[in-house]
Amino acid sequence: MMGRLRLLIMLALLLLLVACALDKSGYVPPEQHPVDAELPPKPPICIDCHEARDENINWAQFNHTIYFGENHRQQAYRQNRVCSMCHTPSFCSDCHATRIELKSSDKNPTQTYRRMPHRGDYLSRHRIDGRVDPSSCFRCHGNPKTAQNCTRCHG
Amino acid sequence: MTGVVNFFSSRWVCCALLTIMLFFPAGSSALTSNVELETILRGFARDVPVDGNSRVIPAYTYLKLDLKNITPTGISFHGYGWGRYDLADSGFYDSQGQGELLYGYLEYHKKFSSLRARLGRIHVFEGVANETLDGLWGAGKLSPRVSLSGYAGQPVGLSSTNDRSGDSLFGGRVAYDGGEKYLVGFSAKFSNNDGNTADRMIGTDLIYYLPKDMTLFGFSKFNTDESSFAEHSWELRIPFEPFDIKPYLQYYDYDSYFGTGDKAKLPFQNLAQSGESLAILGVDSFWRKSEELNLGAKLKLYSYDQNDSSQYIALVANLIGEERTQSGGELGYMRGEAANNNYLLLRLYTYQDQLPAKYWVSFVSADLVYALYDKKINSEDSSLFISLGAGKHVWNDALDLKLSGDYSIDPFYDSDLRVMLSASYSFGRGL
Ligand code: HEC
Ligand code: HEC
Ligand code: HEC
Ligand code: HEC
Ligand code: HEC
Repeated sequence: MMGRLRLLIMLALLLLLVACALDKSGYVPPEQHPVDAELPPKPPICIDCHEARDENINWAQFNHTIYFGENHRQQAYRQNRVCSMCHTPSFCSDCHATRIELKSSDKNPTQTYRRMPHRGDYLSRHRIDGRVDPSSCFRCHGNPKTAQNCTRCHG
Repeated sequence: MTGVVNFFSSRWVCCALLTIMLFFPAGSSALTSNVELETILRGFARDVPVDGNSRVIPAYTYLKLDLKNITPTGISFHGYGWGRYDLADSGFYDSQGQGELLYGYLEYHKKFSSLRARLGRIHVFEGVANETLDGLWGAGKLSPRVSLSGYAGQPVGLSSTNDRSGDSLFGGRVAYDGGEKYLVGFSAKFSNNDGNTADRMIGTDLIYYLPKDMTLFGFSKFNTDESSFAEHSWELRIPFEPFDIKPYLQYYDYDSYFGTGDKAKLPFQNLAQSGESLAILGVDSFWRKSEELNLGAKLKLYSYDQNDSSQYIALVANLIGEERTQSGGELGYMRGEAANNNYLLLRLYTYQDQLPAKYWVSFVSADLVYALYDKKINSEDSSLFISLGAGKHVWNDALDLKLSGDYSIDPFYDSDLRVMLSASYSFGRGL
């Protein structure tokens, strides 16, 4: 049963590729943000250099404001291609990955200018945050592998 | 199959990646390659239940490899993984050496087209999916307005429960772009663990452009196993130069949100039978007073079906300088009735970049995080964390050397000192 299902999915994916090969793409953002734009290494406010929006892209929603580090899901879910113009997936992996032993602020302790989750002693604070809103934790710790470090106290 | 699994999750990953590196002396090869190697050496002390050493000295290696244009037809390779070895053999970790391949895939990318396909270990963020899988992913456009993506394979997050036979994960997303008016998408994700249902979600997402550059973002997720909505997240973005205000409303039904079979481990497992629901009303606001001074304020109101309601409020200020130079602070208060405890949180930090050449270091950093609890945790009522660091960029910024020390007094440690030395080397550029 599962085997047949998998085959079906593979076929569907192949179909997808063929369909795409026919290719009616319309606007596609470039693979890389132009190097000659000389972006400084700080969170960009896109509309400093771009208009708020045109028929192809809505730049304003990607502004890296103070809270963008903890609230980018609405953008990342839909327009991952825009993120990949400037970020390789490894940038995301520091906070989002199936199995990383070090939390991002332990891996990059000197990057104090970033807003990384769980800074400082989080073992104490997490008892409160985790009760108040466990849904946010489940996004990143919601499978057996990402919850591996939790089992020494939970379960 | 298990051979493959063992390979992916063993410490050999690290060695294998290192070997690959030796074969790619970047720069001399015709393909554009980008290699980043980061080595981290940490040291701290822990009371380890086994006899012997209480010093833990883990050495980490992170390797990132991007090989572009392996073939003229647009095939590239991207990989990222880490390995760790405890030089002190302290017994602090489950095993002295461990590692993981976070992703590693071949990508086909058609020039001037939206078509992309990936094969290997991939992380997928797409509609209801935030998953790593070993398999295939493809995306493209059927017409300038309709985009389609899909993936199928084995979920990496479930590989540690029994073995991987009977594990599967597949799904996709289709979206219609209504130009300057709206964008709407539908997505689905199905996963099985050892032949049992793990996760069955379908979802819809929406961007709707309103007058005055206001934008409405919506996302709703439905658990088809539980036959009820798991989540609604709706957000309005109101730009109002120099302000940017985002009110949002979120709703979670615990039984269907956490009801994902074998995926939900403790502490989440119990929540799936709690019958609880949570509604969050929040506002994130941002005031760009000038390019140098940014201010933020955040308010979150939590209300539950069963538990007592809770509130969080926070203020942030950032002073922004040249390059990465920044200083700032944050003050927050959590009134956590739901957890039967409250905390006050204070953070102060600075990062001074591009120090004059007369100093030996290129940057210094400092961080302070202080939390004060209303009710004691392990008979302590506060946590203090201080981190100091310095670093130097050498060889035209190809090599970064960093040294840092963290000190913490908290409910878990009377006085905990950790030091860390990191060296990251990169050929080429990347964020
Ligand atoms: C320092 C100025 C600057 C900032 C900040 C900036 N960009 Fe750009 N961007 C440019 C320049 C210059 C170009 C190339 C000229 C052009 O195509 O408009 C460009 C090009 C682009 C393109 C391709 C445009 C096209 O027509 O295909 C996209 C998409 C883009 N930027 C997105 C972003 C996003 C998203 C952000 C914020 C996260 C951002 N940019 C921030 C300067 C900037
Ligand atoms: C125009 C380039 C550009 C684009 C497009 C872009 N980013 Fe960024 N982003 C940056 C830069 C530059 C930084 C700062 C990096 C640093 O601090 O080292 C950053 C920082 C971040 C951070 C870290 C914030 C923190 O405080 O730690 C996150 C998270 C992030 N981006 C997510 C995204 C997501 C998600 C997308 C796509 C929706 C995206 N970015 C698109 C350039 C970009
Ligand atoms: C500094 C840490 C950090 C980095 C780097 C980061 N994120 Fe996030 N991400 C978060 C946090 C925090 C959340 C919010 C979880 C919540 O809702 O509370 C989040 C949530 C998300 C979600 C929603 C997840 C879900 O299951 O609903 C997506 C999708 C996402 N991020 C994509 C990305 C992408 C793509 C990148 C890289 C361009 C990235 N993130 C980089 C911290 C980070
Ligand atoms: C953006 C992803 C993300 C979100 C959201 C997130 N975490 Fe984490 N968390 C991580 C990562 C990555 C680590 C480090 C690796 C590990 O320990 O698994 C971590 C580590 C931890 C740790 C160990 C911290 C330490 O100092 O040793 C605790 C406890 C924790 N998380 C609890 C939570 C709770 C509770 C929530 C929800 C309020 C949450 N996390 C939300 C990514 C996240
Ligand atoms: C050092 C031990 C320890 C570790 C490690 C730990 N926790 Fe906890 N956690 C606790 C304690 C103690 C509580 C409070 C339980 C209570 O109040 O009944 C708690 C509470 C929670 C809660 C609130 C819900 C509940 O059951 O009370 C969540 C969610 C949570 N932890 C998530 C995590 C996650 C995710 C991780 C791993 C990333 C993790 N914890 C790691 C000790 C730990």
